[in-house]
Amino acid sequence: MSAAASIRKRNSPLVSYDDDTLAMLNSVEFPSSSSSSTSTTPRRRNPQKSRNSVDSNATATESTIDSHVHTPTPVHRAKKKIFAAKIARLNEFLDMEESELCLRTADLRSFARSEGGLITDQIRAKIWPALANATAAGDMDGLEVESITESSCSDSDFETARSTMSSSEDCDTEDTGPTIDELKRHPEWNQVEMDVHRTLARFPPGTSEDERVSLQTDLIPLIVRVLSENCKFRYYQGFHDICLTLILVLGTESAFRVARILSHRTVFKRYLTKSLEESAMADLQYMFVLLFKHNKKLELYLREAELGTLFALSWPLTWFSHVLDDYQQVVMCFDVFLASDPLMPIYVAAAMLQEREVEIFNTEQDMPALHHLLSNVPADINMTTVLAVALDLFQQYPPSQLRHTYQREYDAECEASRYRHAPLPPANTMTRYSINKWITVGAVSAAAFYLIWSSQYLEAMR
Amino acid sequence: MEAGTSDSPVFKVVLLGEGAVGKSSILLRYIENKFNNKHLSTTQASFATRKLTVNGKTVELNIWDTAGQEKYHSLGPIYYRGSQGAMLIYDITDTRSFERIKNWVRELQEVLKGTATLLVVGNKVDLDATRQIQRETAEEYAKSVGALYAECSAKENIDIDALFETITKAMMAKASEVSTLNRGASLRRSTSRRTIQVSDDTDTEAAPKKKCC
Repeated sequence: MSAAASIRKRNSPLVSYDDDTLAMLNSVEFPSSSSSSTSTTPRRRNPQKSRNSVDSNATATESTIDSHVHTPTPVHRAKKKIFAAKIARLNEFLDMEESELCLRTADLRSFARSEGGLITDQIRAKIWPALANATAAGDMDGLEVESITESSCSDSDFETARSTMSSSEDCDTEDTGPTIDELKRHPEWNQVEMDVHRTLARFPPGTSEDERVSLQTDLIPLIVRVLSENCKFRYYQGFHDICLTLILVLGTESAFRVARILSHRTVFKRYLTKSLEESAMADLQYMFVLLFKHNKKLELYLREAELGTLFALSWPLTWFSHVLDDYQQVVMCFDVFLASDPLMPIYVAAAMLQEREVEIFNTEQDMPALHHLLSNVPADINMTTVLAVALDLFQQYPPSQLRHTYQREYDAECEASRYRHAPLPPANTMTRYSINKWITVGAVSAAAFYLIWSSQYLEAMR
Repeated sequence: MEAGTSDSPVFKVVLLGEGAVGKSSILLRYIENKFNNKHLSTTQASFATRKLTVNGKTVELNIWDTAGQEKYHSLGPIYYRGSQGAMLIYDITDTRSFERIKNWVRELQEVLKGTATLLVVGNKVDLDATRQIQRETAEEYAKSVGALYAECSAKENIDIDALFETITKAMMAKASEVSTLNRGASLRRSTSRRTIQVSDDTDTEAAPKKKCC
């Protein structure tokens, strides 16, 4: 707890960011808000248009950033003021009781989804647990609910007791959980241990060796304890990235409570209980459905390259914490995901492709090349823009429509395009099956023809 | 790092094995000659290419590094589909990782039906003091399943280049052998257009290689 707290202090802009840093933060974030917080911006709204103005958009965005970094404008100063006001309002939450926070869920969510998210880790430490608590299984629609309820049965009594907890309860951390020796006997302990030991690169810069070792030591039993609560949970590499982010922001005890809620009530339940094909890989298909609605040219380019979804597998599984280099970017993503629909990571994935459109078109239309390009996210990616675009896509193409109407449209398009470009059957299929069939058919008809001909001939002869 | 556009034949090689045996480290050492203590576990396949010259012929390797942990096992076919070579990597200090490659070997033999060259690799020879799997045991096993065998250390840079040379030579030999059998047959079943390209290119090569399906 103490190590996490000290990291949190260091990472907290309230403590360490001076005015200039805040100003810069502000200015960098400016272009995205102008393009996306208003939901009527034609550039993001109209795929046709965005298609035609790819290059000019990119240059425009860059130049906007530049101009604002170098010369603060009145708009920039106004933004700064709003930002300061937001921090002040967020700080109010710090003094609230948990029960009070529960009543403010809608506010908390909209703050978490707003530009820059919850801003400081001090605020996050207070609000993340409240956001997690507010995630009831009932919040999820469609497939989510089915899969959650379906797999929540037949767990240990412990788990059942947990899942019926009310949203505002104070999970008793001092309850008699499994001992460390029991946890070490868990079949996944070794893998978790190996993965946690390989997380050095994920700690924020400036974390001391002692702090890191202390957190890693706490993290292993934390993860295994979460896993041990449901006999159907199967650890996947990447779940430790989620728990690591939680422990960095919340400290061990609070991180455990939140991790437990996430694993019992949210999309992580599917990831932990189902195969990756059935869960994350299946969800990632929606990324292309979204692009199909939003940017047809980009979707087609990727479809023709047969890119698939593997390149993005870690994105939903780790809520982007595996692929983003910057700690602040990671926690900003978590702000949004904790306050959103479980499919939100898929919207962010689509927004990520949208953001990297120019790079994609400049890359050979070739699966390995594109996979290589996209599975690494550049360190200077503007996640503020990406998240804003994702929230925009979410407004425009809500999950309920996405899962049904849009998916059907997309399937129909894929089918039609297959038909339009129907290639000849592969050569080897021809040789193996068709030719044999043709020979058979040919031989049979020749025989039939001969029989008819000969019978007629015989008839004539007679 | 970008996939090249030259005419040299391309071989697809996939790295398989239990989590934390050193697949990504072997690739990093081979491609960039680095070892990264801060390496993260792999949750999505990464891809790298490198050209090398074997027996006076330049070939390009498309190397796929995969996530090794059990939960990712079922995604295996997406990675190894259409590959001409597979390295089955285990940690010489970890018996379980050796058992795990046996599953991979069975699966590859079933699915790829001998079209791919298999190389069993014992990594972490720098930790010889805590070795659990004797070299002879592993070599014997490799031989029994028709695979090659090699040992290396990504950390100490021992025999990493040799791994890729070994598998490339074997893939080239297999390719020319297969192409002699199949000369003239048009094969179009590869999953990536790059590999299709290869088949076309190699038709005109002195020692063409083909993938039998």
